[in-house]
Amino acid sequence: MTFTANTVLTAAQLNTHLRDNLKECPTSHASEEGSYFASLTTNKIVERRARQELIGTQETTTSDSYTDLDTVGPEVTVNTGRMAIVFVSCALRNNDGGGVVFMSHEVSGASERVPSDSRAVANGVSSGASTAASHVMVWSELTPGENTFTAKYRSALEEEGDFRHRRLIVMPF
Amino acid sequence: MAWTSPMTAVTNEIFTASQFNENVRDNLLEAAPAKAANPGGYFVTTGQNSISEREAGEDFVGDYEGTSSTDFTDLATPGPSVTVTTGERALVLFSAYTESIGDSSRVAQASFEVSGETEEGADSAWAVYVQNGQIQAGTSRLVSLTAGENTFTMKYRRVGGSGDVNFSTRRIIVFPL
Repeated sequence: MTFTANTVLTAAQLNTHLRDNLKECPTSHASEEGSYFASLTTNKIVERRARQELIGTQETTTSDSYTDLDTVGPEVTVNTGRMAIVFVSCALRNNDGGGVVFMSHEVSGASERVPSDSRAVANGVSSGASTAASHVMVWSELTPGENTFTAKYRSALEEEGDFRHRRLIVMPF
Repeated sequence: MAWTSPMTAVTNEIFTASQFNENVRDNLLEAAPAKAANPGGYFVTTGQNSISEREAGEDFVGDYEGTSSTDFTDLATPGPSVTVTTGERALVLFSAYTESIGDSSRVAQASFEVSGETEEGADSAWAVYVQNGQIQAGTSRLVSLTAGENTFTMKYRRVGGSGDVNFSTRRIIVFPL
């Protein structure tokens, strides 16, 4: 509200315009160290926190379609708005031939998204040659709520794909 | 001063200067605009009802240089390197042109170490690397830290084989949280 000279400022006005608005500031919402703030809706913010999982175990697959390895994941569950930044990283190689090996991710929960080569880190270097790298992307039209992000893997031509140092980071907004 | 949960005003009770100072002045001083100082800064939680402004840092070294070291080391031009004030975490993104050609058993690795409040050596578990080829790529890691001033420096090494591995277009970006 806009205050007017010689007009009484009431308790109700103080509560609505000062108390309640201060309670919507980031400081009032701040609770978990290392978190950041995002818009939830008009004039409303929410605290968000990036999550990471790492699986160091070296495991393989010969599946030509996206699948889990013996140790499922890495996997991260976070509350998101419509947007999240997702990083997938690993060391990967083809043990048998020259086919490409891929690490992507799926989304489940409030949203459903399937893994895709267009959202993957991949290695097509010659047989047995390792590469370690990352892929990053932004989901901008998720369904807000609890979303689970799970790494998935495949090896073209059903040759043996080898994966280690598997990392997944999600920054929800 | 610290954040106080804003009081509830009551009809016909005097709103005192002390109450105003605690509930309005001091709380506004804990809000984001009062802490905003650097263009492009952003705000993170540093504790219950406590926020701080953070600034991302970035450094780039373009030089094409090599090493035959099997321990993580500097190249002729050290870095890139970023020093920032962090909380207990930071998101680190780094990339490089990474090359190992002519020896099928040799791997070129680029990683990063942390120094300052935190001491952590470079490691292949968070490296970008290539065996018997060349790539220009990056990777990412959410790092656990001791809060304060921390320095993030790229390091390089050869694994297996013999001779030099080479790197250029070396970049590191740190988002302190």
